[in-house]
Amino acid sequence: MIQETRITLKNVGNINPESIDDYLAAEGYQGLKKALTMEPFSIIDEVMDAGLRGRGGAGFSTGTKKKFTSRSCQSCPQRYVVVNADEGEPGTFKDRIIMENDPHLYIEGTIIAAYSINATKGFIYLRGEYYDAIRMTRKAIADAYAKGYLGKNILGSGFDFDLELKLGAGSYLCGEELTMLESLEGKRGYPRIKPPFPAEKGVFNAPTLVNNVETLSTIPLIIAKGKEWYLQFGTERSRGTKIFTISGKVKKPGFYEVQMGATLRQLIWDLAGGMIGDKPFKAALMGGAAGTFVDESMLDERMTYDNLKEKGATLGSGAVIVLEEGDSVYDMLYNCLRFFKHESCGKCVPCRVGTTMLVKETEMLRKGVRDKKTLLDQMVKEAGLMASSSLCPLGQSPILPLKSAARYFTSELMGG
Amino acid sequence: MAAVFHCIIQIFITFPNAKETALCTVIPVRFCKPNPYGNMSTKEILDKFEARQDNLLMILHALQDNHPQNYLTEEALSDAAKYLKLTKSSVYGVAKYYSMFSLKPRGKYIIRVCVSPVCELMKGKEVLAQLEETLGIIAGETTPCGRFSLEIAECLGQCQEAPSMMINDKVFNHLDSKKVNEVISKYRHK
Ligand SMILES: Cc1cc2nc3c(=O)[nH]c(=O)nc-3n(C[C@H](O)[C@H](O)[C@H](O)COP(=O)(O)O)c2cc1C
Ligand code: SF4
Ligand code: FES
Repeated sequence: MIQETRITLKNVGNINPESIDDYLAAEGYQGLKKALTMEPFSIIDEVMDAGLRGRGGAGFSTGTKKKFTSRSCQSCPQRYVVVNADEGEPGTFKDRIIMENDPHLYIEGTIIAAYSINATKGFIYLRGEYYDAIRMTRKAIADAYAKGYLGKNILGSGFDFDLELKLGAGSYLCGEELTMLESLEGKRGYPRIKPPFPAEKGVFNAPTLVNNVETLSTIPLIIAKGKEWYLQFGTERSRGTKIFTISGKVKKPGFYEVQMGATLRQLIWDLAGGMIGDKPFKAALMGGAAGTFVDESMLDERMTYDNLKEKGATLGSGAVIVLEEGDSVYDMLYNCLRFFKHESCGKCVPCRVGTTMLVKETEMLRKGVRDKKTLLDQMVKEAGLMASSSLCPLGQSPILPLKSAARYFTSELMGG
Repeated sequence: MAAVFHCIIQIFITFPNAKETALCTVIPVRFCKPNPYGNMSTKEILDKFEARQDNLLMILHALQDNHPQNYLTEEALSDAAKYLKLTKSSVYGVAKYYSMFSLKPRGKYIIRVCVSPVCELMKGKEVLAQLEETLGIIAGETTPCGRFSLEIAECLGQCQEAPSMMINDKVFNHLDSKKVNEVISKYRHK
């Protein structure tokens, strides 16, 4: 039996999210206080040595990203921090849980991150439909200003930092960091071409650090308690904890924070209460629409960035959608492919045409095409072509659910 | 006269088992438009924001939220463009790009039904079908009296309690046929 290890979620359900005093009583803003006495570069080192990797999906080293951002363009007058709070990956709601239940935590993390790269201005780009998270964040920002944790000369340190809330307006693609920057500037959400990365030319062409809400929420604790404390959690290459959001056919769907390296079996049976009606497990979609299907052969694999990648699966955002025997992997795959078609911005041909074709071809799998095996192989090939020729990572995503579904559930996809 | 007529119609509309469409088709739409609530002028709204392009989305949100029919009018777009010194076509392009913005009138209550994987897995399709049936419209449409608009949405981040929908800024989870009926009849009376 594993237990949850609540670090990032320690205050959830235990404090009133609207009360900054509650947060302070729960050792809130201690990380910031300590950070302001440290040299900015030593904060970056601390985060780097703690081995923190981005929780937005890609798992890039947070310390390295900070280092790049703090070093690029020394002559630039302004640096920015952008909080990616545009959570939209199907099956994912970890950031919403943090924002609704402990909004000061990610704001504190944002201020520390800003101080470490010497950014004096930050934006939170929050999903427009997350009304409760928006309300909580608004109040938390106002209270943090009132108590001197934001604004000029924070806690007498001489460090100034302004934080502004910006709302998204219903585009999944705007969760992609470069597209988000366009949207932040008040434009349509068309992706920018990488490179340059945000660290070099981000919002308003200035060096910008883009981090996910969960990533930033981990920073106050790493600073307050030190990297040694953090290093006790997780595995060598995937440190710390991860919040998984588990949904579908389990008895207790919800959010669970566990140490990196837990297995899917532990997550489903130890924490989420097992399968509804104790029916047999069939599959899980891990990481959302831009994620991968797995079958029971993966139940005992340790969930770390690298181990899952090696096995052809993804950790992604931490979404786990559980299917029981009798549920249709075909329907789920079809749903994911429709999602990509719907969310493709249409700017480049491979993705615009490809997402439409994949949906059509998936329908054809059910419409009595004679050679279904060839069709399925062709779909995987097309998705591969899309992945290599699309402008942005959205076009590189459909291959993930498609290829994994085709790998584990070939006969179901071809059957009808 | 109009007021009396309006009153009678309201009684009809709020009749629990009434189907919006059946009643509304016989009623001139202008009589059943919801009353503007606490409307601010466009200028008052614009004045709350600094005239910077990066405020465009926030401005469009505010203008749309302020309109009783939850949409961006031609005038609103021009005023926003003028205020930010942008071309009207670029503001239009932005408004059109984002799915939360509407360029045509919508209902007082916008129902967003999640059609993403978890909700589909948990029988969300039945919820959508039931809503279409009860309201007499299909996704993308507004009831003739302008009370409800029905829209499909991607994952609302409520998957642990799927299937889910939102009505304006409120979330409704664990939907089944009984709950959908309860919620809708409550909003019919609102
Ligand atoms: C289509 C698409 C959607 C994305 N959506 C999100 C999102 O909603 N939230 C998020 O944090 N990252 C999202 N990402 C990942 C971001 O591009 C980026 O990697 C992340 O914000 C980096 O933060 P991190 O290093 O803290 O993980 C998305 C990426 C893509 C390609
Ligand atoms: S890959 Fe898709 S989403 Fe990305 S730019 Fe091309 S069309 Fe747009
Ligand atoms: S899939 Fe419907 S709320 Fe997430």
